[in-house]
Amino acid sequence: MSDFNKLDEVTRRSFMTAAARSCLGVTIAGSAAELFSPSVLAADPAAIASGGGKAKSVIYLFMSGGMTHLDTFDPKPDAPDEFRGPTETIKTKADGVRLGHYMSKLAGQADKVALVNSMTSTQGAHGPGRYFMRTSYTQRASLVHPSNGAWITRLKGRANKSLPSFVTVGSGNGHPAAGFFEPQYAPLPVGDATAGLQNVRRLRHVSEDQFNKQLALRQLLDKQFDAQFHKGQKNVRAYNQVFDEAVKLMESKDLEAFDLKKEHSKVHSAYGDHNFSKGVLLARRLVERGVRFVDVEFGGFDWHNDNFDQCEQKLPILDQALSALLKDLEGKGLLESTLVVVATEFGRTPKIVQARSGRNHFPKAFSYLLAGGGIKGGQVYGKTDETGSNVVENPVGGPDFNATIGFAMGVPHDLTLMSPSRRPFRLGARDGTPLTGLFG
Amino acid sequence: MLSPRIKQVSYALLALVAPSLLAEATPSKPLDLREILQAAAKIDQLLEADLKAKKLQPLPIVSEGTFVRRTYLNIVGRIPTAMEASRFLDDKTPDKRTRLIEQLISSPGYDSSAFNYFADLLRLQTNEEQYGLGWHVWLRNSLASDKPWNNIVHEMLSAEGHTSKNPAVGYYLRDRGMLLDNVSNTVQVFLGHQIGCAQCHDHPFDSWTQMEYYEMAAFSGGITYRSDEARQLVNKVADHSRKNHPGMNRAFKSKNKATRAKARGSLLRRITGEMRYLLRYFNRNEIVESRSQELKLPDDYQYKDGEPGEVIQPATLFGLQASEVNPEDRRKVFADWVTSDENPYFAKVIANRLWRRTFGHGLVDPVDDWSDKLKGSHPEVLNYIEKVMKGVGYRTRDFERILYHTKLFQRQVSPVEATPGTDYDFIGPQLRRMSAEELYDSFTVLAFGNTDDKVNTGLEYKWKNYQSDVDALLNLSASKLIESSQEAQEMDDQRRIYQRKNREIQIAITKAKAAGNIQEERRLKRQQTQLRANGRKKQESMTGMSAVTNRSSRAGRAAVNMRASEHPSPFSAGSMVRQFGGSDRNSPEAAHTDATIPQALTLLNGQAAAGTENRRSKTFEALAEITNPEQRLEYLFLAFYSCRPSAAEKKDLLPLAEDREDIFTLARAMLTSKRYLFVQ
Repeated sequence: MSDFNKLDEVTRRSFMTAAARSCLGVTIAGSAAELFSPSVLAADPAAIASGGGKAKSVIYLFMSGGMTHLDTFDPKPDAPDEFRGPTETIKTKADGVRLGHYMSKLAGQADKVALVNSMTSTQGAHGPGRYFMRTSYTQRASLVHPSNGAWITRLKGRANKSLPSFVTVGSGNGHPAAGFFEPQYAPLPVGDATAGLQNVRRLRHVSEDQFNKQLALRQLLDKQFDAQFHKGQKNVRAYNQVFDEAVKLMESKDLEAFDLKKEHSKVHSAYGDHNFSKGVLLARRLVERGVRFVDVEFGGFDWHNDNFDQCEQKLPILDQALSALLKDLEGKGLLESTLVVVATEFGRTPKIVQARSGRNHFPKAFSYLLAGGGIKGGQVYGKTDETGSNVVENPVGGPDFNATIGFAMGVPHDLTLMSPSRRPFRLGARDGTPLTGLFG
Repeated sequence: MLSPRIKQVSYALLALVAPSLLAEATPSKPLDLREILQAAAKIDQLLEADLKAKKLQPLPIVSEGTFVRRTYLNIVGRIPTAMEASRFLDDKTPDKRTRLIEQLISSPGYDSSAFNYFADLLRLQTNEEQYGLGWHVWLRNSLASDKPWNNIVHEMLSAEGHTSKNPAVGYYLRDRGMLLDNVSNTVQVFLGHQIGCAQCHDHPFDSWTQMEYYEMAAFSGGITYRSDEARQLVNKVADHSRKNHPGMNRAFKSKNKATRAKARGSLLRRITGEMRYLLRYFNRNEIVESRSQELKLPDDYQYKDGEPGEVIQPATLFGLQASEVNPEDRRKVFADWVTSDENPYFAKVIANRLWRRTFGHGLVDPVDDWSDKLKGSHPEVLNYIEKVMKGVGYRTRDFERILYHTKLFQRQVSPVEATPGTDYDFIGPQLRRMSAEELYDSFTVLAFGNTDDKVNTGLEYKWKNYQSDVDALLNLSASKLIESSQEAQEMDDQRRIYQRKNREIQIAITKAKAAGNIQEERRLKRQQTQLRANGRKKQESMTGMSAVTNRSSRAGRAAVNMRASEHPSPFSAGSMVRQFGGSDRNSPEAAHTDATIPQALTLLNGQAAAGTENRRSKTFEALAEITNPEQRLEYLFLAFYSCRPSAAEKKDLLPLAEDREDIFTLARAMLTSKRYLFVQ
């Protein structure tokens, strides 16, 4: 602890110098980077001055498979039929914000949201696309980059001592998680929100004494193993970490955050019945208790076939859960401190593949949504051409977007941290620029 | 001009040469042990020479306990039972390590473990649709019968027709409508190159251009996801209708060609509509090679070497070049090129993949991104194992057998992990956590003992059943086809009515609940149960074509004492296997072994922990039977760690073995220990 306290006294300025030096490869031991104190890093004054730094938590909803931008946030009423299909454009509560007709509930909440219709990427395959949007970096074989959730967790620090700061709900296997960061920044993955967190109570016939004895025995049995491998093997350290966290969690008074049965049935019906809806509700319960970053994945947006049938089936689920979340956060006074994001890996080809009424992968232009956390609602940022095929105004890349999340959270998105192989990395990659104009 | 890519070799020529080459290279039966050991020794010799040159020492050979545990886990994918471990430890013969490897590699446990590996690599999904089950059964049988890897790959890449006749089409049906993704995965999995970026634009780091990508994909440009068999059935019914409705024939006999075509067209459309419910899933299980369909550049093609919408001729990425490919041979030529001995990557890539599977790190690492890495960290070893792969005729079991017989396999694991994607000196294998399936299977061992020979015959049974249903369908008379179509439509109507009713009841239940009307809620729930029961009964009474008209066959669930490989794959998202990083089968080799908090909770408080104390579990039985504390302690060490306790451990732990409650506490502690979770 003593090293940690000492670091608290260091000014942020000197930290930045150290970071800059390390970035240039001059000096600073790699392990020192592990000791960054959250209190030093929190609340970037520059960010606060320009409207950032209001968010304390992020709810990051990821539409996995590549969400069609033309039928959701960037509809094109004047495009020819072969682009538009049966999707209609609807007006919303906010002037200038228009949505695909599947998002009718959100239309009533449009004064809370900012659409970014100029997202663009070069990653046209699912895995690499998701990876890029979550990490700001393209996939490499030699290391895994930390996801935005891990960066926020690390830079912002823990607000709840017994709950993990980073939770993923319904994530696929490819989630970059903590990447090259140490295991303490790894997310707690919840597979099924309805089932919540399993096995958090001792087995019925195991007394507290026996349980503690069991924990002590585990240490004893592993003594030699740890002596041999703890230092050189990250996954060994990770297992030591997760057992400590698991025991802490078992004792947490906030465990009930994972129990959705505690919510009134009216709340349940407001969010919807789908598993994703439950994940969104769980995210709200978690940020209420100070969890920093909840990444909820909604799979199955890869509509090469029957795009419009899929829209009818799937988008109302998103529409309902997202609208309920915004209302709910507002009602609880949490909207200002919670940044809500709708993300995806890429958009879909504007021109419909007639033979199968489908849309293929399209990284060149797509849309994201932001709300809460200091975002000024009722605005649209960036623009695509009349068919949604090219970004024609204010292009935004994955690194820019992650920098924006950092800006909202008041953490330095441009702070350089070193990988174990001593290469420099940032939340917003090398030149991610936050969209500060969205705030205020 | 003489770079390999330019070399003009016609495939007609290759086809003439290849069989004789293969005949020479492929032994007709597995190699004998002497040859195997020679090859293993050669690998060690090359590695040790390399270490010597680098002034490095290889790590020492492992103890017997570590060896027996590692060997079971690597070869058969589970820990040994306490009995299996003690039998090995007590064996005094000098060649017992060699014999154990030989025994395990030809056991059903190896088939189970190898299937898990290849299913993950190929993204196999059993229950997605009918073709998934067929592909599963086909892959499992292919591996168990030692079908060479080049043949397995060739059969998949050149497959066409209906899944019931050729289940290898599952490889393409897996990615229906996503041909370009399929091509990227093919090149990544079999040839170790990541060309996915070039799908949308020129590759930023490698030299692949978008044009090269499309040329490569053009080999598969003729694939259509439709069914010739279904079309023939429609024709059959159409001809029948004409015969039975002579009134129709006027238009059909018209002298005007357009009138005839129109009549035919409208009849076929009507019949297709009528047979929709019978054929819609049958339809989805076939691919047909279209001679006339060709791949075109995308609408937004931006480079100077082609125009948007331009038709692209197939061309290979490297190695032999194809010339004058007939449209109907495109995929056959592609499969020939991929699996050819002349392909600069095919043999090397699978050899290197299996090398990593055995030792934890590739000679070329990562194993699926070979750009500019043709040599790897140990060029001579890589060359040699490529030769070995070809020499064993691509029989992966024999290839792995050689790797297991190396001294390297018997060395201690490195205390420091090798950085993925960098060169490693192979002073010993890598430490690893058990794979999710290995963990699952090891719990099975603790609870049920060795169940390697318990095969889920339900999968094969369901598949045979589907095949015979398809046969029956294809042989139905026209009038029977009409009857079955009506039946299928009725079934679908029923299903829709059922779904609507069920939804209505569900909404009513929610309302009743919200209003606090418990009686009403109960009444509605009863109604729902009855509705469901009736629905099931109706389904069962629809005989005959039920397998054909269902989207997927919901393949037979495995029994509780069966191994992970016997379950339909992938495991569901909430299952223990997935929790421990088992593959979701969405991308090649998606499995991982990363630590998470829920894993720790499962090990501390979950089913597995409870399982050791289940009265019917083998571990419980044994502990209940053994009365001597020392023997109890020894049993636990053998069961979990495959070794006997050291003197110090005995001293520390013996008092626990005397107490009934404590001994189970110790067992639970062992289950959570890294010594158990990791493979040394």
